[in-house]
Amino acid sequence: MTTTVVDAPAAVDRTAPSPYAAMLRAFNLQMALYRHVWHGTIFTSVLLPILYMISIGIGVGAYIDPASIGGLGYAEFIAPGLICSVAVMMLGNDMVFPVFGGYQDWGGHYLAQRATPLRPVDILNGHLAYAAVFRPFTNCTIVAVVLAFFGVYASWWAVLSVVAAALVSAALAPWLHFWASSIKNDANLNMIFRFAVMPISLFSGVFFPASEMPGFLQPLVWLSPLWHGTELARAATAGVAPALPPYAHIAYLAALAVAGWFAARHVVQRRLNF
Amino acid sequence: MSVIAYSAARASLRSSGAMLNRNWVAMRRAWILVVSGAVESLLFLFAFGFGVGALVGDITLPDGSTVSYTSYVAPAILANAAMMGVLAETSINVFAKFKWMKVYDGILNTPLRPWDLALGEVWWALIRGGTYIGAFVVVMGLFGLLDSWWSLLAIPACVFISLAFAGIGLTLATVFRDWTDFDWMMAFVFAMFLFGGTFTPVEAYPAFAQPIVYVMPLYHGIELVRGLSLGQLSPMMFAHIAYLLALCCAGMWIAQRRLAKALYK
Repeated sequence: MTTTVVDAPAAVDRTAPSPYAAMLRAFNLQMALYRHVWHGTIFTSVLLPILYMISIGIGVGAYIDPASIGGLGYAEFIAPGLICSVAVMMLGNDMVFPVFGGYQDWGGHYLAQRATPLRPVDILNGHLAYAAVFRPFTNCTIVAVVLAFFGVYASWWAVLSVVAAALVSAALAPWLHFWASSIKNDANLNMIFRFAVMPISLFSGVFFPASEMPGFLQPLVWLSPLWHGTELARAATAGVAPALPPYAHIAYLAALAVAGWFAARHVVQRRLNF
Repeated sequence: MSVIAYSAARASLRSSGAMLNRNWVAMRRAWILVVSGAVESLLFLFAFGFGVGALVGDITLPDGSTVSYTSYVAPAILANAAMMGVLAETSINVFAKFKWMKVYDGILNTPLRPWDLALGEVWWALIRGGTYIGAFVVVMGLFGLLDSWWSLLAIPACVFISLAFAGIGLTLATVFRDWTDFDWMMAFVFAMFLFGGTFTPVEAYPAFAQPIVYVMPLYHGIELVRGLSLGQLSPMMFAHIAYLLALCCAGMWIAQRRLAKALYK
């Protein structure tokens, strides 16, 4: 009879990690989940904008007189908006069902993370780092590179369109998180697609200039982060002047991001502190 | 003879009606979800019909006639609405009832047979799709996109689209294994929406792509609805209707066969 020698368990570090290290741990969890599902996200985050480019940008663009959109070809006109709307569509996947599901007792990942030394705000930061930094900087870059083969960029400044897309993502992500954390009934989840994600994607000056919309809807367009991002991205890819000075667009998106982070933090702390 | 046929039909409809009734009761908790689905197609109409339509102005069709782009795109988006309402109901919802909620296992302990289930689900999907079609046609009328009373024939034309996708959706619900399969179905549906002749005439597509488009069920629906809505009737419409009806019958028959095989164990 042999005796098995069991090693003494290594000392477990029970001190709370620094906010940055904690965010990184929560981020790594999201990355681990992403490695299982990434292939299912290719359609919305990479293929769909390219299909839009072929069908609408090139197909419908053949019937559009460039004079009606300030002398730009239609494909050049929609390319920057498509890069930014990828960011919005990805948030529809990353910041609605996963957030709502995170609190559920059927295996919610927020509840699981709460059982570790992570604080609620670390969990929020990690998820936001994944959805509003990692996703736009990878997927929007791929889309931007593929769109380059359509010859829609005026200069190398087009690289900055990805930064504009990331700003849109950062401005919108915490608000979606706030909303998906606040609701109790999953039947309401689809509402955010119908009444937020889709209207924002379609009416933010991506496919047609926002100035064409009826006057009473204009203030709503100015609220849309995608409109601000598209104006910035279009300045980068086509060299046209944005509606406002660039710093004003950036300031609005940054303000939205910061305010949204505080709102989301408030709800997350209320739901995860127990 | 006709009395027997009548009572046979009535007996058959009564059992599928029970399935319909079950769905109605279950929907009352989530009616806002079902009703607000009509909004999606209207958003597409406003964005592409009116927004992009203002940039395009008029479009010259392959036969040489000229129409405004808004009235060209609107019927295609209507056809899309007829497809989406029915497909969401018959594929995803039937899959959930079949694989997750095990609703049908219980129902088959009653006198209902798989054929009644399939028929009942199709009635229900048609009602849901019908609300979307109705809402869309009302908005088209309010914005002056219906040229004549003949345009209202687009509504029955949409029923053929709904029937075809009810059959397809039911079959897919029995074939699919997991939720990720539905992501690919939606990808395919969106590709049909973008390339099924919704936004530009198929004749303008590259030659290699045209045969692929002719296979798409949505293309036949769009051609049918658009022809009626623009008042351009052609004998080809009977071919479109026949193709859609064939898909409906084949889909429903395969679906009830597969349901029976999976449920009678």
